[in-house]
Amino acid sequence: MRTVVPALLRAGAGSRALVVVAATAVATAVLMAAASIAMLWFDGVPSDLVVDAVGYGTDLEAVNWIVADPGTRGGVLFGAIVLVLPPLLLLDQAVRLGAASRQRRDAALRLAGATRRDVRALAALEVALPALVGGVLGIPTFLVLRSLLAGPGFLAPTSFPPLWVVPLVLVGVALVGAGVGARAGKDDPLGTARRVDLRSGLSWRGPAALVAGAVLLVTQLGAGYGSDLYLLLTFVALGLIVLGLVGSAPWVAYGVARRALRRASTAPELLAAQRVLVAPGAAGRAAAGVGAIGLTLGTTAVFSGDVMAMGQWGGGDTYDVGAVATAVAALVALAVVAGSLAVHAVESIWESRRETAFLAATGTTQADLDQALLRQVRLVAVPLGVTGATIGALGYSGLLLVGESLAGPRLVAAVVGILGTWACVSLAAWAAARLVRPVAVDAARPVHLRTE
Amino acid sequence: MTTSPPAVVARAHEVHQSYGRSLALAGASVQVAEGERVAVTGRSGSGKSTLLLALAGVLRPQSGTVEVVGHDLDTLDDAQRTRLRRREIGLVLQFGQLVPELTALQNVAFPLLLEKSARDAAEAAAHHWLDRLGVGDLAGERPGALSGGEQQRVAIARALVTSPRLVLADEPTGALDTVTAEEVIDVMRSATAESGAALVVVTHDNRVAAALDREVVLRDGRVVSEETAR
Ligand SMILES: Nc1ncnc2c1ncn2[C@@H]1O[C@H](COP(=O)(O)OP(=O)(O)OP(=O)(O)O)[C@@H](O)[C@H]1O
Ligand SMILES: [Mg+2]
Repeated sequence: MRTVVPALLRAGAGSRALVVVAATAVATAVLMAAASIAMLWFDGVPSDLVVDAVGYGTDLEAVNWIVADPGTRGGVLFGAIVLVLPPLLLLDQAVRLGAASRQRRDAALRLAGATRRDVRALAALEVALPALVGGVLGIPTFLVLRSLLAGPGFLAPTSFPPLWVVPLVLVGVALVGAGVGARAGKDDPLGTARRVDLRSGLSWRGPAALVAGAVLLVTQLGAGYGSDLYLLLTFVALGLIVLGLVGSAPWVAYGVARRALRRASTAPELLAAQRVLVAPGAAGRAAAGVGAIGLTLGTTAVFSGDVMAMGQWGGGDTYDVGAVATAVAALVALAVVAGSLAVHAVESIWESRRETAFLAATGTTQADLDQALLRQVRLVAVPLGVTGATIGALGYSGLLLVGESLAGPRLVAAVVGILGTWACVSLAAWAAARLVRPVAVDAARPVHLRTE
Repeated sequence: MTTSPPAVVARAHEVHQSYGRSLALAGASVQVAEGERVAVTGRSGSGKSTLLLALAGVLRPQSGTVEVVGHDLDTLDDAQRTRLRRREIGLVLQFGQLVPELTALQNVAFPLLLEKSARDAAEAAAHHWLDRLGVGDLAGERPGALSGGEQQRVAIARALVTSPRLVLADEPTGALDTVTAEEVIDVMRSATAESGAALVVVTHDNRVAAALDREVVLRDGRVVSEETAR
């Protein structure tokens, strides 16, 4: 392990392509599951053009109550789409892997006469190809996912999105990959700035979307519950909030790092805070998926709390199954996020291995380096996760239960959801730090002191 | 008049180190006394950097012994060697040793923070050393924004801030103009003289070598001459 991971990284392109393949495969599978759920609206339509509620057609009979009821199905679908975000963010993370060495290569290409367009095209292709492979692998991944989700009744055992959706998803995935890749290669590698711009990667679009979504949601609170327009606008509002939360992640990173820097009193604290502060964009993006997952966990917690309060928990019906399955899905997504945090950490460690080796050479213990790494990973992920869970829990309560109090079981559920998210995110951060420890140990070896 | 000979701060004895087929050190021996200032010279590839890393205990040579402030490095475990380096040795390498994310001030304060100093005190000490090396006004900058020579002076400040018994520097003036190089060597000389620390400087620069007490010349991984200046 100790030698394999860095070797993969040195090969650079290899590990990057591998993570791109994995991320697009998961994203494609989740998208196909979402499409299958969405298709339930049309289940039985060809026969008599009437959409009945429960019990019409084979797929509808096979799924559980929450998915079958058109009222709650929207929520499940939304949850499924939110869970596409973590693998997409992992994809984004993977695309940035090895940026420094690629930049050196691109600079060499430019010096040798390649145009900026050539370099961008290469960058796009480098991501689009593995993304396409991942998209194709997404189909068997979906089949595995389907058999898992069929147990708690989230998908019918035979459900499959309409065949025309499949090429659409594949082309979409490849295009997204090409776009992300081209963006990664957009800076001209010739001529680089020396000064660090602390605010690079911070954009106002995230907070703006968050505010717009919140305002829209508030205007919906009193509106006609149940109408189509209400449903659509609520969806848009929730979507804006999710994207806003993800887009605000670099700001959260910037804010917490500034605060942590002021308060740092030990060497690992100082190192962790500064590492986040010099690249809030990268640190924020790496942790952004945590916000989306916190949102799901918070919402699910309050939902389950309500069901329990209504005495339906464990009553043989499917609310409990649904809540548990959603939470499990969120935990899986959390694992993806741990991977994303790990990828980011590996990148920052490996880029500065010479300096790390020097720290070790001058008396920084591995324990101090390990602690700095864990702090660095936790610094952004924990506040983002807790914020997401709080917004999810309070937003859900406010949305569906206007006029009712937050007291009682619902409050307990909200608190449990937020604390649970805190615990899960801490665990994911710890796992990520453990995962990259071999790289961290390797980076501290004296060979990296050597003149290049 | 009888004076007891000064204590030995560092000693390398018959040190061998090879990398594959290339022999970096082929039985190099050198001894550095307390307060002594030694220049290590020799052609490129003669093993100077390797010898320095062996003295710092960063590299464990394949054979031979290295002793630093009375400890045989071979008998110490990794944690003990790490602590020894942190407390007793100041190390300056050829380039690229500052933590890119930390400011110059934080880089210099870092070893003190590792020793659990309060942040205020550590940063005050760091300021003092940056000022002495003439880069006090760059305290808030990150290494990426500094010139090669400025970075080198920050690295020297970091090596001196812990008042080590032994300062090891690999080409500390390689990136400096002659005037600044002289100033920097002066600071290193006076700083080590004040604290009684020994100084070992790898250098290509004859003037730097002449400014120190003794010159050790390496060739093909072996010490070929040791002459005392004037
Ligand atoms: N980690 C390593 N792997 C392989 N070879 C090495 C390694 N470190 C040093 N060498 C080789 O050992 C020999 C001595 O290297 P060293 O860096 O000590 O030389 P030097 O005297 O410091 O040279 P310079 O003046 O160029 O810095 C060289 O031939 C070098 O190529
Ligand atoms: Mg050298």
